[in-house]
Amino acid sequence: MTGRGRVCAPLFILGGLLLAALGHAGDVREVGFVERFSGEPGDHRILRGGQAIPVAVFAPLEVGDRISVRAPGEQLALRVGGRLIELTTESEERVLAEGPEGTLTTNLAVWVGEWISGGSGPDATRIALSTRSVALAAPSWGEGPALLVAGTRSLRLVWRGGHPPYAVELQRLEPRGGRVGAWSVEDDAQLVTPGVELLEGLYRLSLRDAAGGDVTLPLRVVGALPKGPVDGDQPLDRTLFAAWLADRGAGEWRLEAYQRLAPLRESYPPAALLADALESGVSIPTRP
Amino acid sequence: MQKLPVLRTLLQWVSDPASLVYGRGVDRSRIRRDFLLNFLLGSTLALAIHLAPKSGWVVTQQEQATDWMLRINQGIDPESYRGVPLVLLEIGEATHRTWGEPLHVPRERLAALIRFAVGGGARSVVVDVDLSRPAGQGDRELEAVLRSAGEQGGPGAADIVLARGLREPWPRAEGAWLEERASFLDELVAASPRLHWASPLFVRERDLRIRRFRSFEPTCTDGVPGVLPSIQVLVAVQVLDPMDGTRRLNEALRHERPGCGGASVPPATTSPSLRFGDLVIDLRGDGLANLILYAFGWSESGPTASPRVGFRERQVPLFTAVPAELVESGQPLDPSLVEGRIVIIGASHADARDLHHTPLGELPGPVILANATYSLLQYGNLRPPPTRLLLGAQLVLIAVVSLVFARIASVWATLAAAPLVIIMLLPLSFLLFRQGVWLDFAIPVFAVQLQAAVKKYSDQLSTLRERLRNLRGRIGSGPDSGDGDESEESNESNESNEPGRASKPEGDA
Repeated sequence: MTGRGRVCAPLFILGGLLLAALGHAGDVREVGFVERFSGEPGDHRILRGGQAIPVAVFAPLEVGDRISVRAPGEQLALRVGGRLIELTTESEERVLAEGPEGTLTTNLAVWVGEWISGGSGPDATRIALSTRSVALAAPSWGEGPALLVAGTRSLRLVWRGGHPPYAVELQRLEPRGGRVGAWSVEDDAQLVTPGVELLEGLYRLSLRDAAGGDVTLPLRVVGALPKGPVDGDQPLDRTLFAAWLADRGAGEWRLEAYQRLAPLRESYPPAALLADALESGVSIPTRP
Repeated sequence: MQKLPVLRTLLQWVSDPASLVYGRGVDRSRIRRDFLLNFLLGSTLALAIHLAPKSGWVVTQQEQATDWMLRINQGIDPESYRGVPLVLLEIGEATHRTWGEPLHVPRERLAALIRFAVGGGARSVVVDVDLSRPAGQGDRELEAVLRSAGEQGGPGAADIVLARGLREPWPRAEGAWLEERASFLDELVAASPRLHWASPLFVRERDLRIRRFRSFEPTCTDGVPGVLPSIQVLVAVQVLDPMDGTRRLNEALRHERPGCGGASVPPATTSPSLRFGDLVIDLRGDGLANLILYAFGWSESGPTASPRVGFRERQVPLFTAVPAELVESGQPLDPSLVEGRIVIIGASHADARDLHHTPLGELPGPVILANATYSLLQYGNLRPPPTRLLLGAQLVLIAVVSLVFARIASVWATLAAAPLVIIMLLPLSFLLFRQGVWLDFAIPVFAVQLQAAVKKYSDQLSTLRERLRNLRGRIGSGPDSGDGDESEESNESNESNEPGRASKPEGDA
């Protein structure tokens, strides 16, 4: 290479890079939008080329935008490339970058991967017959806050819908917080916990499924049951008492009533009937 | 020293180029004869398949091939785009539940969505919501918003396309055409040139997938013939020709009214095709022409990766879905996301029962509408490649496959032929697909497989004949003819060791 060539080659490369950079700067790329924010628009900041742009719902976002939350306790949610990004004051300033570009190679690789794994192609999606029919729900728990009687006891929990596996957790909130128990249920919609010590106070019972559905029930553990109209240890007496209990107030004793009916369901059909009714959320008419 | 055999082979190829095709030391006249026979057989079969009515296995293969091609091409940025981006104001699960899971989309909320889209300067607003039945006080608000939008003039004003309720005639024997459901908005729509009814119907295939759109829907309502353009066709012509597109479409469709109740049908004097520059929309397109070239899919969390397109000197996502409930969030809104774009208002939540199987998986109805609109704007009707290209490619393929069958044993040729055809055709098919041209590789593969099967059975038949002849010879010549038999077997054995022996029967131990 001659001396002139040695000088010109780097200049050409440098010039090319400069032109590419200039071309890129003029190439405005919209990648998402502001989905929602808390507080006032001034609590958040979007800088574009050093200039602040007004924060508003649906405001388009571009590659290179610098986004941050300025006011403590406020949140800003962005939808970028179909993905939700939530920012708080604790989050670092977010600089939007180019998302992954769809290419033939990527699509082929995905397809080959799915083909090899026998995988989750378009045909493997579930048929949405009804969200309501599959939504996670636990009617036998009642609407809450529920009441339970203190003691060391095993809890019988039943739910329906959702997507297994499930996670159940019982947490004590007051007077002293802490986890009482956490259990995983693979493919059943019920759980009989081992004996747990329930002390008087506030608790929280939560159920989560694999699809992100959840049911949370605030619990208050009390010292004793209310005095009922029937008293006795026979299945009939216990069933009647449970039915009366389930109908008390706004249904806060339903979970406790279910605990009393469930052990009887195998041996005493009326108890099974009432337990089924509680499981499906039917109210029990005991009063005219 | 190890390089010597390679060098020798190269020298032989140079001195005898035909050996590349035939192989060395083989009976060339036999290969030539086999090749010609295979070529004739393949060409005849390919011609027969092309001319035969498309049904059964061939159609299934074609559909699977197009589905696969759509999957592989989804989410890829087009080189250029002649349309405008699409925005879905999505009534999804979150919105549906925020609104209290109402049985119908609340009309006052729908009015707010339309007001936002029109006020934001949308190019067209598609309302993919059933508006055939009144729903209370909110109807007045919706009427007011539509009236106001319909009165807007000027080239930048938005056209509003409303999904028409359609139903089967009853009793069924009364007619073959669908009926338009009356709506409380009928008078308002009839009075405004900016408001339009359109058909939301698509074609559902035998495997329950939606692959094709309908261009229009002939109707017969109370004995009065009518015709509704499909939503995607109407929106596409509005975007492609803002000044005159709707009139041209209505004019073309006037001749598509069915004969019902003795009403006279105007004669078809004009072509049912609409041309916009180099883009043609054929209103009477066949199965291939009406194929939707899906570009983006959907998952439970929203749209999957959308291609990016150029729009007003920016690169923007072709398709954006925004939660509809945010329009009434009470927070300041930035309407620039809808400005100049096609806005579709529709539901994706499960209770809407508007989820359908497509080549890209389960998609909500409004997302299928968006894909169909994009497909029309970008490609018009999908078309086959020019006949010359099709025939040329087919003949080259048949020639290659015939040579393969002439050179190697048919069992291996059968295994190699279909992948070979796919490997040869795929790059070309990919290339053409991006231009809206569908080079079918299912039929060539089918032709090759048929050719292989026919060749295999023809070989077996020849073998049987040969054996029969040998057997007759043995019976005729008696026990003294042992030498002759040995000679025959020896010949067979020699032939079977020849490279390039095509008619070697498999399994004739």
